[in-house]
Amino acid sequence: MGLRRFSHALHRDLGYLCVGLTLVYALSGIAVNHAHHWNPNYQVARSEARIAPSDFRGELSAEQILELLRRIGEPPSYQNSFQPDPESLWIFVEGRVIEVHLPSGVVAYERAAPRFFWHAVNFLHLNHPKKAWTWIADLYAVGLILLALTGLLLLARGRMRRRCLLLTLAGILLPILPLLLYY
Amino acid sequence: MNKNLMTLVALLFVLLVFAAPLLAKDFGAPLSLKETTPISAILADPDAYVGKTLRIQGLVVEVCAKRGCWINIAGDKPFEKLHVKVDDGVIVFPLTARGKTATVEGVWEKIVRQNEFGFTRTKPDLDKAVDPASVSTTETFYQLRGLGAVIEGL
Repeated sequence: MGLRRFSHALHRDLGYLCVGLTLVYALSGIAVNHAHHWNPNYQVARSEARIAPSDFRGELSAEQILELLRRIGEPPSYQNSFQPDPESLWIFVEGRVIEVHLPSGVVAYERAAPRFFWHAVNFLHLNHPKKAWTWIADLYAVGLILLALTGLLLLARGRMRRRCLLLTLAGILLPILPLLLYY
Repeated sequence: MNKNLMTLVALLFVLLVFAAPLLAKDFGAPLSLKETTPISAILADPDAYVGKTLRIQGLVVEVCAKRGCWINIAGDKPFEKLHVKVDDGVIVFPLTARGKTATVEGVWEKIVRQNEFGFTRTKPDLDKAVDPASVSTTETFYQLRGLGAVIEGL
């Protein structure tokens, strides 16, 4: 098998192998590039309500916390609680945080749920699993390098060659120009 | 590619994407210290611990919503919390860690910042003139530079 034919076979098979990971990295790349526009991992819903001001102050007992939950209209159970100061209470219930400001009676609810698709692809893209995933990601990177190199070996002959060379040049300049401008 | 192979590839992709998050619970380097230092002891004399590697444990009360690059952990005494900062992208804490118990190891840091215009933690009242003498131009705070963590119940 000649080099060109081998490159073609390798390029084709690597292309198929890299389909899944390319989609993961590309979609997640767009998502995390715009982290200043949206939270790419979590959907955070906030709402506010008001109850009658409470005269509870200082370190609250479990009974007082349950009493406050009753006044808010929540089921009488919670996972944990925290008081950042004597006038505030944060109650952690399944998937939510309820913040109560005791003197004003303002209650803020916050629910954070992982975005079904985006959280998963970002998790992989940013290599949060570590462990074996690091090796898979490294292999994928090697696959992309081989894809690029075998692609170069497949440069078309004849009339199309000029066009392919121009596109390759553009592809090489694409990362270099921003470096010259911004780096 | 035939239809069966395409289905297999699609299934593998879905499995890969959605099974991976289930594996995470440990973050960063494995915990190595046996002794846990009470947060109240650290906050009572923060200078005494600067540069030391500590292991702390407590309730996660706040998480960086955008990048998961910091958490605040409640102390063992009322109204106390300790700030844990991790290197961005090296450890990413999930927002769902709030309300869960975390054990964290890291190096206790003292950070002194200077700004000629001063620091303010509250929104300035634009109608009132600010006395420059009343604004501190130096800010000192402490944090644990987190190296590894385990969060229970995630």
